Amino acid sequence: MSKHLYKLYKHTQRCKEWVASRFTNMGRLFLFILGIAFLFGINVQRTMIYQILSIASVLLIISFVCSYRFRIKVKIERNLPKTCIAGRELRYNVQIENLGKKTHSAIYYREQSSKILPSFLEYSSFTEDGEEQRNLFDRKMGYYRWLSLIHINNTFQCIDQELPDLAAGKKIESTISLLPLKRGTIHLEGSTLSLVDPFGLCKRQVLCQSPANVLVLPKLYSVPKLYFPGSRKYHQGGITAAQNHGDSSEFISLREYTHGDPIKYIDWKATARVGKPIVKQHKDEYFSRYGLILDSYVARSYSQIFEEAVSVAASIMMNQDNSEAVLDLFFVGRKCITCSVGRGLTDQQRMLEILASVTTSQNRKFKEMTALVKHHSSLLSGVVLILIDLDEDRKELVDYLIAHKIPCKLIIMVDSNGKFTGKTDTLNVDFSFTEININRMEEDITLL
Amino acid sequence: MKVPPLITGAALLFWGNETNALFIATILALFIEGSHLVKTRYTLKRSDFINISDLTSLAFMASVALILLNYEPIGFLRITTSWLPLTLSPLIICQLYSTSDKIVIGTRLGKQQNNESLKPLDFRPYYLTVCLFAAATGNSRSLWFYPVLSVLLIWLLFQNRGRSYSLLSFFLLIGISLGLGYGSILGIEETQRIIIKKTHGFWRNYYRTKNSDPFKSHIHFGETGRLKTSDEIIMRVEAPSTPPHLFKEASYSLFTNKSWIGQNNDFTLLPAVTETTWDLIVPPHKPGTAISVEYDLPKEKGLLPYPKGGYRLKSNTIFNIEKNSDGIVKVIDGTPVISYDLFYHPEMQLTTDLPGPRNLEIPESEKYALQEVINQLGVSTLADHQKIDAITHFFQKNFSYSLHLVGKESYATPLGNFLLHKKSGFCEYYATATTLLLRLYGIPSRYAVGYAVTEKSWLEKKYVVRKRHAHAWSEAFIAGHWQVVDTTPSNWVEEDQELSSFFTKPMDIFYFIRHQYRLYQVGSGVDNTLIYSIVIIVLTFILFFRIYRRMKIEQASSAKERINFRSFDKIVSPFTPIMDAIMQSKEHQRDNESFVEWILRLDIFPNLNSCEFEELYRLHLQMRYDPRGLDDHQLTQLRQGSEKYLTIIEHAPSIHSSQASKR
Amino acid sequence: MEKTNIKNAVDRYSLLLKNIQKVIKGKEQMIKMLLGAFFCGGHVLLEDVPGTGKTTLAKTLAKSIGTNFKRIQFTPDLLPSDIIGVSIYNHQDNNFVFHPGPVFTSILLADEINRASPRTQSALLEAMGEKQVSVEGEKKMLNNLFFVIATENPIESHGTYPLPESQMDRFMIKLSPGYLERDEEVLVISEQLIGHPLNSTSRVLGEEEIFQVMDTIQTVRISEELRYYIVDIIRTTRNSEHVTVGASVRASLALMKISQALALFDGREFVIPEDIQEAAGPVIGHRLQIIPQAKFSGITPQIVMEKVLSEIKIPT
Repeated sequence: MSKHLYKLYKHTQRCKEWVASRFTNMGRLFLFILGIAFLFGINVQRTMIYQILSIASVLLIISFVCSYRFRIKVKIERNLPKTCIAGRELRYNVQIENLGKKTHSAIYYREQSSKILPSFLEYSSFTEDGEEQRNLFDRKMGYYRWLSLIHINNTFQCIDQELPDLAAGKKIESTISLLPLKRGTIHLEGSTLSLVDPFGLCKRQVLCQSPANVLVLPKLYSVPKLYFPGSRKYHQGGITAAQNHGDSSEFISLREYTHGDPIKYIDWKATARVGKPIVKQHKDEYFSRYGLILDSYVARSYSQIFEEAVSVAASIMMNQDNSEAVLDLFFVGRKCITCSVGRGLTDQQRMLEILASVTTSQNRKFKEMTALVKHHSSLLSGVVLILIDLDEDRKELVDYLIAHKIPCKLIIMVDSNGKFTGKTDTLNVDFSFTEININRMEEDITLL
Repeated sequence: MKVPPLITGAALLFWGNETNALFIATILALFIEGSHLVKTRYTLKRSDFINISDLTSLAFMASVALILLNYEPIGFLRITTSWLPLTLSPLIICQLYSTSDKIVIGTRLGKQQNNESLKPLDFRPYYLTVCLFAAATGNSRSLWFYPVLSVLLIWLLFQNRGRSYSLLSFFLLIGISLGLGYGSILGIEETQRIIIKKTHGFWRNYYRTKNSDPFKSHIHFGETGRLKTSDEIIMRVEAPSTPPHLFKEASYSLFTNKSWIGQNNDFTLLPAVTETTWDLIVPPHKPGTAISVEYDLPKEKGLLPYPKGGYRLKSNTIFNIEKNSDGIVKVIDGTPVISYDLFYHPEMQLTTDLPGPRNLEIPESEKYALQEVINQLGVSTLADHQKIDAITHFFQKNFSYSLHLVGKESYATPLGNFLLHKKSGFCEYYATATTLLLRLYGIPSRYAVGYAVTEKSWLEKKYVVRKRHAHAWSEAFIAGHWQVVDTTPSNWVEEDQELSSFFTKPMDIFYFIRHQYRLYQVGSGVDNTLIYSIVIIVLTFILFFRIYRRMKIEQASSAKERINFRSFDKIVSPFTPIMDAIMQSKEHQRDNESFVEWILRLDIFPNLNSCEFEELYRLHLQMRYDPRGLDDHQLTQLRQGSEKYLTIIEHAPSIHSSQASKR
Repeated sequence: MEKTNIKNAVDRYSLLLKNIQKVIKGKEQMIKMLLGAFFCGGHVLLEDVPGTGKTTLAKTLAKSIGTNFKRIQFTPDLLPSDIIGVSIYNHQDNNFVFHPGPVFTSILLADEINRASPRTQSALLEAMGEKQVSVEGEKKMLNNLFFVIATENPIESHGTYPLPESQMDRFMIKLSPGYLERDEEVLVISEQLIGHPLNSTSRVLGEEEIFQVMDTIQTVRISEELRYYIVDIIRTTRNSEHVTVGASVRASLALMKISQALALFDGREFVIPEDIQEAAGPVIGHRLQIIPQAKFSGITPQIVMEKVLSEIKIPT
């Protein structure tokens, strides 16, 4: 990638940001009007567009001049929750205290992210999702790559929101809405307060530094309840945190009372029949343990398919209401994480937080995952596989699972082309799977 | 961006007024503003929006085609823009009548590809802009344009103004802006006038006008620059053998102020012999040659170029012609491309074509140079035709051809500079010089303009005449007839050709196609544009219905259960006005504060008897909320008590100021 | 006649309240709501961190009205029979003797209800709903005056069994008291220097008087307009975007009853909108099922209720 192109794009982006910071939406519309009027209105005799040109430019210039000064002194306190969900509006309270002597009204509030423009290194080493499909010109110019990189770095969207009147020396409280766009962490640099000029065309911003972070959990879809196939196997141990000290309530058999048995386990009916104290024997608590395998083996650092795969994993996990089966083995990256999802809210939160921070395993091979799963296969009653592709390595894992009679539910994420390696008939695919197209997430996910 | 209601309707009416489409504008405005009154809404899915965008772009392209067909290409952009409010109206109507308040604009052009990346947008501000621009292209040049435009913009800005500032400052600034705006409009108009004036001469120096003015021909003198030439083919001549070299359009007799002025001979209508035949020279005719000419006449009228000795004109694309005594023929009514057959014989001549005293006049300012040349030539004693030869020879030997303009430099006149110093120029100079020299010799002469027919087309079996073949020469009246004296170096055609651009050959093809199309258009007689227009409209409707059937738009029924709040008559108690007055205070009731505590805090009533007030408040609540209501005694008590407190409020200073004074 | 009833009821309520407040400092609003539910015959769910005086509160209430009080500490291995009771075979008499469980009491404190298995939970919940239990085919009625205070620990959610949403309806209100104010906490520890105030609590009301208050509450009038207001609130919760299932008709009934109780406590014979607004949060909040996406975005039932209340026009 050419460094000159990078510089050009960087400057263009800076200009765009400057325009966005000095002009309101209406102001930008007027700039557009100005541009068109200038292009087409030059011939004064032919049309009267020059009149539009003159009044629009006068309004803009006066507006710009009026918006020149804006000084405000405030203390801002945000009550941000620790987590939020991608794609869902986050609403939180902000308390603003006006430390100055002047009353301000109609001030707009917006959150400012601490992102900076990508460096040349980042730009040149980044490959866009689907870049191969662009024509040669686009690839050489690298503009779409730049746009894609900017788009990825855009973690949230926060529009200017009007605050109630800020009287001098007083505190006000307001609810701010912010839309997180993708999972990860939102780094807020501070809050931007802006004042709009009388015409509503230009604005002046003041940044109040107050860094904060919010963890964005992956976007959730409504998944139907998955019915895990497979028989109950007797597993010792169960949940580590069940605090099920003592025996479970599952009854196996009766036996005679021996000294030391708790009274409450005496089966009185049986005692009446037999004549001696009989005690109910309980079975050790057992569970079926199911695993969720998330395929993170993509070559790129950011991949749309992977993001949706994470969302699918999160959605499946969130919908576990099953007190019988426990989805508590989670294979991602190089690790197998055990958790007891299916009981209690905190664990669900913890799992979502883990999912929020999962990254792609860029330079590693899928064989790692296969080895990991093989290592834990004795614990598994069943498996849900979320794959982003179906090639030789992945097929090997599925074959292994089938051979070991571990029931698996296979989900393959496909992109808009609907293609993945396995579809090209070079692999013998003799197991059934569900395809989820990332462009039709809501519809496809209900077919699970 | 908030778009105030009714502004779109107003802008549409403005547009209608400016472009004389008031009827359509009113209908559209009613449709659009009617969405506020009519409550039905339709649920439109994303794919429906895209279908509607497809329809709109289809309508747009159809309208473009119709306009191109029926109007000159030059005005097409203007006309397209001025009809945009109508062509884009489906988009705005569908936004206003759908359940979502934004639309997705994206045309698939019929393909099934899914455009997920399109974000929904509110089309109203853009539609408003389109209306304003369309109104501007109406070019009514009315004085009301600026005020109405300002009102609309102010209205829009008022809705979106920055509320940190007072209304006063808003209107003050508006006033200043309007004034400055008006001033800058005047400034722009004035600037354009100045620019046009300055460049008028500038442009005129550079292009030879195609359709000559029979009364005046301007000679391009200038200090710097070159004459620009164009390769555009404007005439085609089909001849059995070589056609005559020069086709004359007009002649002029008086040279003054760098222009040749034609004789003020009246042009008179030449009656046709048959419907398509005119006799340029009264019969009897010597049997001559016929040539076919096709000539571009975009304004459907102009001078008719024809060779010397032309006596009969036959054409069914020329309807009326005028002729003057010098034989100059003017087409008054023809078609954009005229094709005519011309019969000529070199010896035929118009008897009325005789010289007058003007043909000997020489301007004083040029005499010095001309005399100088005459002295050089020294052939005053020879016969006329010998003098002509001498002049021709003189120019051929000493002069060269170039397109560079000649200015006067250190000489009194540019002509002098040409004759005595530069000795290089193009046909206008040669013709002018020759004509004046001949007059100095006492030979009546005149300056003639027309075309040189020399080039045989590589594409068709005709001779082509380009713009740069426009030529000027001199004519001398010797031995009873006018004779051509062309002193421009004979290689001028080749010289010009060398300067022709690289694109000549491809452009020739284009000109050929265009010419054939024009011939076809003209030749078919019937105005096909109407037929084409109808065809386009029908095709559009067919495609329209095909796309429309794809859309299944449902009228929105309230999807989610709408809470229809049953309204109850508000029970007003005598205490209610007091409540209303209290509710207006800026201090709100705190969470754990009882009503009476709040009143005490507000300190509206001095020396408040809190028990009595509380009792009164209780009675009010009972009247308002208790199904049993109050009995008479309680009602009287409430009324009396309320009146008492009401008078206190009315006479006391307002609640707000009592707050302020407290602070 | 009615007036005296009202006056009596208010007096009795104040008496009880004051008595309780001798022991429990601060938290007037919570105690008021709790007594409201008590006098309406409903049950209360308290979500609170440990050590905020829940047991003390229940004991004080029991002592104030002179009834018996039982406490169950829920553990994961608690059996339904531990709650309801068990029939024990008496060898000598060759018959089964029913030993009633703790549920046969007037005031029951079910501590950390979310730690027991769902089977055990439902045993208690059914008892609360039916006011009777069936033991080996026989139906046994519970006390006429039966009031359950259940507690949940919000922090520790490891190995917990959250109450099923469908059963949340059994609790008339849910309260989250929280920690005391600074001054109040100082007062508490100062008082206990002398001795635990609970020991000196005396009985101030009898069961009969309590039933009279309950009857009086039912006579509190509520206009049709306000009845519509109540139902509108409930219906709006069903439309909220953050809620999968909104509140049911039981919620409307509960809201009406509690509003009546609150009106009575204020000395009025009729309900005003402020009563309804005060009661709405505690009555409805726990019955709403928030969708998971909203839960993780920080949307709590309180926020949903605030929004619902602000949407509906208050009859003024």
